[in-house]
Amino acid sequence: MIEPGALKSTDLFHDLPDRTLRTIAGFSSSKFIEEGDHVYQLGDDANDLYLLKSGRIRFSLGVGNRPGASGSLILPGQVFGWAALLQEQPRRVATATCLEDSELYVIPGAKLLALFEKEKAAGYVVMRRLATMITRDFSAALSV
Amino acid sequence: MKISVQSKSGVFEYDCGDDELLLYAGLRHGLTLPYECATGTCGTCRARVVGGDAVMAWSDAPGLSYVNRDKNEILMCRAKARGDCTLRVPAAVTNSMNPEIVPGYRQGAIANVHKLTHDVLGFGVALDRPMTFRAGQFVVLEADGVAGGRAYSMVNYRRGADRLDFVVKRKPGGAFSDWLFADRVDGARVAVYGPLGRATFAPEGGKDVLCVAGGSGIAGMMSILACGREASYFRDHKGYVFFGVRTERDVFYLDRLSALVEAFPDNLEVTAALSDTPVPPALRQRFPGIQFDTGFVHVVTAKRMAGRFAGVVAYVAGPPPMVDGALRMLVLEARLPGTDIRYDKFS
Repeated sequence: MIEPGALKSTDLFHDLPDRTLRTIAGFSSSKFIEEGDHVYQLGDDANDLYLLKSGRIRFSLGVGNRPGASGSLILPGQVFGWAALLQEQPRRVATATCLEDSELYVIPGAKLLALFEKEKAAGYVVMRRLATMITRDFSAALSV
Repeated sequence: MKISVQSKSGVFEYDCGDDELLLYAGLRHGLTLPYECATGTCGTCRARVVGGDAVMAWSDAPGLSYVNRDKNEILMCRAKARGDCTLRVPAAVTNSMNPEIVPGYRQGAIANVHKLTHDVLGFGVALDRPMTFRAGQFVVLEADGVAGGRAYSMVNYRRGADRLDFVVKRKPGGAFSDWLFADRVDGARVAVYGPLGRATFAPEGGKDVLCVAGGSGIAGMMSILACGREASYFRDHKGYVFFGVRTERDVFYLDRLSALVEAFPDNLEVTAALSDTPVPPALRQRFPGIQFDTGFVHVVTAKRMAGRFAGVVAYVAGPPPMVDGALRMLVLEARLPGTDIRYDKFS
């Protein structure tokens, strides 16, 4: 379980009813990852959404041999790993690596989607914000 | 100078020359220091200076966006030590690199510069001593009068090669490509560091091979195919090559690719995809062994490989948008695991 207040300050979940935030916090957990380790890699199953509580994550849409300076930094308070909310996209198309020791909140995608099936208004708000995030991430990658 | 590296797998020490890049010195001692581009753009070789002092030789390196300067972090591939120093690297490091392919410095001379298309050149570098490398690897070339090194994948493949072959696409405002495209560079001296890179092919892999290349990304694929030919790999394994360019005037190496198809007619398929124009009938007639299609290369690959992705290892190389599109296709449609995808995204 995590603190509902941590979700309140994020772009994705702010303004959701407190009851909804408490439910999400109730089925989420906390995870600590060391500097240099991956949160996930290209091709991994996309099960969880992540909220970065502390640290710094490098998020790259396909990092490999001789990559360019593409990708972006995830800073505390930001959400990433949104593929877990796309039912038709169950695998990671990016790599997320800790640039320093990081603490993350782990939010199971399937449970979040099940919650939004019941709380459709909250689901609509979150998915609309998710669409904006996806467009921003893809635009950033294509601009390099 | 003595460099001490604190890694997740232990502490290692190596000697570094006065004016030598920290990464290059460590790699030539056989240490598996983390890196990808080796030229300051990707940020993978990030390290923290915890003792002594090191200075960035390229203060505007794009990879610095991943570095925390407040914590004294540097990019090892573009930093030099000011005396003995200690680095902390957030990765496991070993000192068991295959000695055959430990990178090193060589001198070379540009040779055989020839036009492949209106904006693509082929050229060779005659080395002062042979280099053994894996198919798919690259080297960093530096020329007098051109600031900084540039990474190029080898087109050829030979153990103990005394010449390395490359292709270069003219890049607007690119100092190194402008220099190569200038007249009379034949014979010009270049410094060579390598071999570098892990997106490599080895015949021991035992899987069918899929190559997806955009433009000059075909370079490393040609090395992979040359290695496969030498090992008669495509006698028992399938090879699928997809080469994307914009128009007919951008195609090159179709003669070489045709020869490879002729050598392995049952198992090797090559498709050239033109993204901007229909395929001229004359091009099909000129190269009957090559299949042609229209569209972006990753879309053509998905269409033509449908149902045939199982058991392949994929190699992808080219400009970033093309590589990103191919990677998404390989992960989401082809369902390849990340471990079977090797890519080279040109910055």
